[in-house]
Amino acid sequence: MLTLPVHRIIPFSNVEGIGNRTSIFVQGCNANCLYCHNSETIPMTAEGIRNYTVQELLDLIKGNMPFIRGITVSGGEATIYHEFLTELFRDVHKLGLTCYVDTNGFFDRQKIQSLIAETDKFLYDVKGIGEGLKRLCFTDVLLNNDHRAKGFQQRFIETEEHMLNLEHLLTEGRIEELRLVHIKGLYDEKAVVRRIAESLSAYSEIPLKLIRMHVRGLPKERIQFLKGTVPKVSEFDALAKYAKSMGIAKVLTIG
Amino acid sequence: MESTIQDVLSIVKSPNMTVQQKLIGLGNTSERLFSPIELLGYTEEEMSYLNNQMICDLNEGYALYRPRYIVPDYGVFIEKGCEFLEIDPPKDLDECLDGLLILYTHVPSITSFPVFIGHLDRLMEPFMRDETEDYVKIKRFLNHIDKTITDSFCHADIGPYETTAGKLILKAVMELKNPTPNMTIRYDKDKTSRSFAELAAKSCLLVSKPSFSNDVSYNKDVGDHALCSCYNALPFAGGAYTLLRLRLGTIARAAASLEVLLKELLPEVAGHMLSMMDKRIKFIVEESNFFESSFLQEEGFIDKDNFTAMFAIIGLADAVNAMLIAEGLDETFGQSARGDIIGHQIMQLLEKLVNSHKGQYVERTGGHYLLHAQVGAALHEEDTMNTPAHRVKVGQEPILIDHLKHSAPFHQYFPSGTGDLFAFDQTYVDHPDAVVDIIDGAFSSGYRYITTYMKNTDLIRVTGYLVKKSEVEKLRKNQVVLRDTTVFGMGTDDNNQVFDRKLRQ
Ligand code: SF4
Repeated sequence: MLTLPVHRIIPFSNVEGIGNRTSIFVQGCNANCLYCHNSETIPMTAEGIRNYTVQELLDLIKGNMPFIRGITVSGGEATIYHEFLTELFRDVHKLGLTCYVDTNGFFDRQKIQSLIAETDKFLYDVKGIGEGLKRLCFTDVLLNNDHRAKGFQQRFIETEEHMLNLEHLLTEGRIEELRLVHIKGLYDEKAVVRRIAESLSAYSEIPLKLIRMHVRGLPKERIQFLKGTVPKVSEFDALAKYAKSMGIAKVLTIG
Repeated sequence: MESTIQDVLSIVKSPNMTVQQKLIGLGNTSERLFSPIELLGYTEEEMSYLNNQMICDLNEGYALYRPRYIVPDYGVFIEKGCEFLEIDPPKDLDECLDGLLILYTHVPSITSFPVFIGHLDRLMEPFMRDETEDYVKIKRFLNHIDKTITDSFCHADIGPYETTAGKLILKAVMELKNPTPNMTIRYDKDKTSRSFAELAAKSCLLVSKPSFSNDVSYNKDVGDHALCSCYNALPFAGGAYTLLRLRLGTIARAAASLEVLLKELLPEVAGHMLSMMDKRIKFIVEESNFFESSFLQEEGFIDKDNFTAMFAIIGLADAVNAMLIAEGLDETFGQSARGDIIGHQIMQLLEKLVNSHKGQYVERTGGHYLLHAQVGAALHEEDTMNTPAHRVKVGQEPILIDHLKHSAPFHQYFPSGTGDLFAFDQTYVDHPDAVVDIIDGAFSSGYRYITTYMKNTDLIRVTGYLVKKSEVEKLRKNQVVLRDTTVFGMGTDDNNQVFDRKLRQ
């Protein structure tokens, strides 16, 4: 039977999509971002992780009704469990609830087609574009050449498949919000914002959440890799301004 | 409690009361100079339950001369003006607001201030002309109320429909950050627009009001009604004569077992409280000449046939905790399945006792008094052992979802009002959608009334009414403060640490 390794469940959350939602944080990620604030969810397994069957999760979700309007699966990276989630979402929809996925965009669109079809909205974390992603998101991952990272160099760094995925989901009306963590020196920030602005040009109702990277609460090893990458408030404000000037209608800043 | 001539003098000499507060205090003291045995015919036995604190009369007084809560139909003024006060029906917003302010000074209650000042949006909406100008007037009107009705048991209602006046009222309330008036939005998700509900939810987080009442369930149980005082749902154009309350925690502490509590003690004490209520109502209706002398009655603002009376409880949590200890269980109300069963047994018994008692002069509510979950406002030390209403003791609350599920089924017992309140963190201010989802869920689970606030604001909901934490601090330093409710806020915080309620994340 399919199971889902779950790191944590928050019964009521107001920050993972619209309304009051139950948030499920899966264990396991196909990236390893320098600034990751949930780095304990990166390994595919860890101590204290519980594996849930679809039925077990459904029972738990039912218990949170009628106070929630849906669930959001976050991580880690939810899409690596696309088969499980497709099944779960099918049943959750029967309860009249909506299903959201929080993703880093590093997925194979063909492979997770059925999950996309069952997902009401994606919260889409744009990590950046270009060679810098190697260090920002794929340190270790590319080196190990783990099966999850197969072809990542070519797909996400050369072909920018995560941006194509975004554009595809936009045309399907499946994007709720975009996020961009502003970090210095790992990607051309203006180029990334321009790219997002282009993608969003026909979707003015979709907000971009711009988050200033911070290192509070990060493990020491990570902080040391992040020296010199924290944007100044003035730099952050300038980027937000730039985003607006590029035509992004809703820019929400956090930082 | 009976008062003495000495009490008169100590009020006169009080260093931290305003003259107005002294005057009201002197009035209340004189009401209690009479022996209730002689004046109302209380029996020695009834008196013994007042004296041992199992029954609390909130110092309501014995020489009663007006109903405790009065809920006028201010629409009468909009339509006909007021003959007694010689004011014509209003032709514009200025005359409407001015007339209402005049009327408020003539609407009595137990606090001497009006506990209900109208469905404000409905009263104002016909006069809306220009949003900018109307806003200034509405804001000034609300601020006037805060400074002259110096008691936050004064309550205004809005909703269920979205109106221009309703939105301007909310905007003003958020800007003013005043404790008074307390406010409720009568909410029905089929009538209230989502955006109006979210605006109200945001306001509730920022300035602790309006609270949300379940309009569907109150319409069903009380009919035409209004929310007044803390969150009392009372018949419209009427009100409630009196409110006495059982201190369930105190009663349970005297019971050796649940069996003794349910079979002997509770029926006994409740029976005495019912008969005291009978006697109080009889005096108001038959002897005080209130209805005979009131222009409110004469001109149709109220009708004596629309009055009821409130049979209140506090301390359900403490009663259940005492029983859990008696049964040898290391659990507490709110996080105990057995505790819920005991709580419901107590409430079902009281519901039966109250509904089988035939009261006089309360035909409007089927000849019965209405159960009420009372939240506070007594300074007696016995209240340290009686948590407000059926609420979970501060510090013993489960996580929010479990808390909601635990408390929802208790709301059904209290047609004349109950409510729960939850403190949220800052993130919810940007997500009133999530708050309204929780409220929708609560109402569809049986909630009658819910309110939220943010923990770090100065204006805070103590139990059912609002106080400014800064005013409480002033009072703690023995300084004079404007509002008499501040005294209750301080007392309730001292007794129940309400400023430390669990934060909901
Ligand atoms: S994608 Fe998200 S969870 Fe995965 S490593 Fe990056 S920040 Fe962490």
